[in-house]
Amino acid sequence: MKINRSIIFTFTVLFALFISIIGAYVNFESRKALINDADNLVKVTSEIKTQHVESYLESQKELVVMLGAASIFRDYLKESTSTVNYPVLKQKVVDRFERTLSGDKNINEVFIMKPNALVAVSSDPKHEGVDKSNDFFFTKGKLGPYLKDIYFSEVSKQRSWGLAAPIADEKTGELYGVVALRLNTDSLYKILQIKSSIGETGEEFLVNKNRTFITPSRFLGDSVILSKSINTENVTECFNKKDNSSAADHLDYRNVATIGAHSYIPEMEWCLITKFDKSEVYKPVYKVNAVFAISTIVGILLFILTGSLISNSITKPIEELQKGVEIIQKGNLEYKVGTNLKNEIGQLSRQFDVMTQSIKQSRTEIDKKVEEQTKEIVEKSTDLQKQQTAILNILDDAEKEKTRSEQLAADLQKFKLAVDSTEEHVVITDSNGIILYANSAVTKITGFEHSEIMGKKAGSRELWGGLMETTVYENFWQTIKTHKQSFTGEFKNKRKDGENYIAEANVTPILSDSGEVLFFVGIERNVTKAKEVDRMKTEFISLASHQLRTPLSAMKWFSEMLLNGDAGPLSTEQKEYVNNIYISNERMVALVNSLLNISRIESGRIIIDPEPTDLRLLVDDVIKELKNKIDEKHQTAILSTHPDLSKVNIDPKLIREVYKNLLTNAIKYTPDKGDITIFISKNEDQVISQVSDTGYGIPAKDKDRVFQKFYRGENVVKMETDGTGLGLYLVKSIVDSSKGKIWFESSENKGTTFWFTLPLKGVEAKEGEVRLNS
Amino acid sequence: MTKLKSVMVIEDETLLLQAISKKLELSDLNPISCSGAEQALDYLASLPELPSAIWLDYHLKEMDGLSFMQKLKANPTWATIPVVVVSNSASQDKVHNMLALGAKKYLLKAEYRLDDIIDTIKGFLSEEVTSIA
Repeated sequence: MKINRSIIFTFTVLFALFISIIGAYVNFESRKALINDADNLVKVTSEIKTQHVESYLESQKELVVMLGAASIFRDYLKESTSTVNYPVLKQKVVDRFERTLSGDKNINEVFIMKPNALVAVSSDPKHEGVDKSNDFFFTKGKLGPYLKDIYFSEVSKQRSWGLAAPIADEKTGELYGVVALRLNTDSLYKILQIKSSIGETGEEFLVNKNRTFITPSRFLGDSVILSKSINTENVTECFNKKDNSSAADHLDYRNVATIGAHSYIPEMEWCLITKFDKSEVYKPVYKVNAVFAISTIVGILLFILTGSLISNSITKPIEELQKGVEIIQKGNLEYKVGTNLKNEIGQLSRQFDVMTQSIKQSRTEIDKKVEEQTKEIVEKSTDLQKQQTAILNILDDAEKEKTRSEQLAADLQKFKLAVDSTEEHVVITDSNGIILYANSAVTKITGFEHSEIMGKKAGSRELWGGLMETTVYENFWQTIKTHKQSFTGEFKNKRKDGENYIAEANVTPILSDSGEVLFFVGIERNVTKAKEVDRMKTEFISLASHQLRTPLSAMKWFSEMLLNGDAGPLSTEQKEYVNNIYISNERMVALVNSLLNISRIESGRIIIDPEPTDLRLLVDDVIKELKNKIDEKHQTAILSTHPDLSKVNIDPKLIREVYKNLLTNAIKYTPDKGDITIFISKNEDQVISQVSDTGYGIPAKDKDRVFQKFYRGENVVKMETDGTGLGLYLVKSIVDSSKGKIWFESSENKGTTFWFTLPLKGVEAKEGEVRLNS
Repeated sequence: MTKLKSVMVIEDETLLLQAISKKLELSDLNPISCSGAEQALDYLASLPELPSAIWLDYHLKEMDGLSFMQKLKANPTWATIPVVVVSNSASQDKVHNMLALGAKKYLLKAEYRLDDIIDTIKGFLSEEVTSIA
């Protein structure tokens, strides 16, 4: 444990111990004092209350004695009932009763009994004539003043008590009758309930000789009266000793520890119990304890705080010194422990720094010497190593150089052979176009001998060039020399013998590391024949197709006229046959159109004429055009588009053809009541069109052939005889030429979805010769 | 009975010419059939009354449709006759040239029914009438 902590701990424990002893003493003393006070209080209260009850009983007793002595009752009782005076006397008695009743609200009834125990007159006339020979009122009352214990009156249906006194001759003592009062318990209870100074839990109650409550209990209420018996220690003692006690501890009827006293009231054989809970007596002690505990905690906290402040001021410098020593131990001799303190610790720390300095100095000197000697040794060793490495390197380099040269020579020979023998015309020039190398194909293609070519300017009028506009050559040189980009294009050239040919050329500048042109490499191919063949092929298809249109028109128009009945009415069968001719002819027309379109696209002569196009309108229009076919098959076609789809710069004629073909297929290859959905969406750089159907689908094994010419799905050929097998080929050709992509997904008998993309920025215009469908 | 309007048909394919002429007759028009452009020019020069419209093929044996059109438009009295070109080729330059010379319509052969082409021609005839009225 650190010093400061042990100091604080020790002092805190001592302080707590001291405070505890004081606390215990104060607690003990104050309890004693409180109990003393409580005992006194209970005793005094008990005495006062007893006196109060006794004096009340006495006053009531006096009242009844006084009534017993009243001459009016005697006179009345002596008078015979038959006299004239009797009713007058009775009236006087009744008047007296009324006065008595009005004088004290607690008196419920007053009555007099004759010596034969019959009620003579009562404030309640119903009771007159009742036999009271078994009633204490009569039996005890005729002997002298009598107080009747609290009882439950069957007459008034309430708790009552009573008094009786004899009515006798003053001198002879002859008994004329007995007077009795019946009272309620209100006054008596009031006396007991008057708030005494015995606190929240204090109570006083009366117990009769049957050891039964006759007054309410503070805790159990009125129900205990005349019903709950009580046998607590102090009740027993009270009835046994019949005295007034001083206060003592005992358990009350609730089994709660109380301080109580009892008083015996001999007149009624009652015990008055006065008591209150012990816990209440100690309440002030608890308060004192709480205050004491809080003060102790605050005291301890203050103690810790001040203690730590004081001890810190003592131990901190020691800790710093210790920390410094640790740092120096780790080898940092630069560290200064020194503190500015003027006390012993300060001096110690400064002494320590002086010691550190001297250690540091001696160490530096030793290091220096060692370093000097080491350096000498290392230098010598390095020199030796360098000499050795140099010798080895020279040997190694010589060997490597030899191998590399041999390899290069072999590689070069391979390249030269390859280039020499290729069919392509290959020329290498310097940065001004002066020919440095030409392969044998150059001679074959141009007719110029190798010696005639070398050192001349490539493609000059002197050699195979000069046939084209000067701007063409200017553009060419600008591309490769100024822009240092590779050029691809066609040139019209002439051979040495004067024959013209078309060359497809690719010329690439070879740049140095600094970006200067070192050479140009030109590769050319004579494409005259290939182009001619291509042109002839296209021309043939075009011509053939056009020529086909004349007989197709004749067939179309004549069969149309026959069907119209222009040559007279036809029989049903004739009509059917002619219609078959008409339909077949239409298919042939469609086939010719498709072939023509394909030959146009394949030949690359197609015009691409982009304009900002609203694809939604375009597709809407296609759907309208195909509406008859859709309705015929009771299909539904739904078009939805991206909400922010702006116009796209494409050739509407071409793209219309794409949608038209995809939709025609969807309609044709989807059974009745099927659904066709077109959805046009977009991402950052593409417009994506989706055409889905719920049709027959494309067999999985045919998936690779879908975009091939003349392909038709095996599953649909039988169902739909009509179809050229050229639609999707055309679609793909158009999408490709528009820099888009096309793909599909299909599941047999569930449906097919085609997607194709178009660049969002649109398609570049292309000059050409032909359009679709012309 | 009102006099039938006449339509000059220039088509070198005999079968087609026959079909067209027959259909025009059936459509209450009077066909003037020509199997070549020279014959057509002769007719125009000699007939007492000019046709109300001309059906012209592009590819013809000697003088082609374009030359005929140039000659037709060069003559101010003939120039107003509406011309509908019906050809087996509708390449960009051909269509462009014909429409530039004032052809009313350029139709692709085999794409249209006779009924439809004749309806088109009739449309130009009634246009004429309304413009006069």
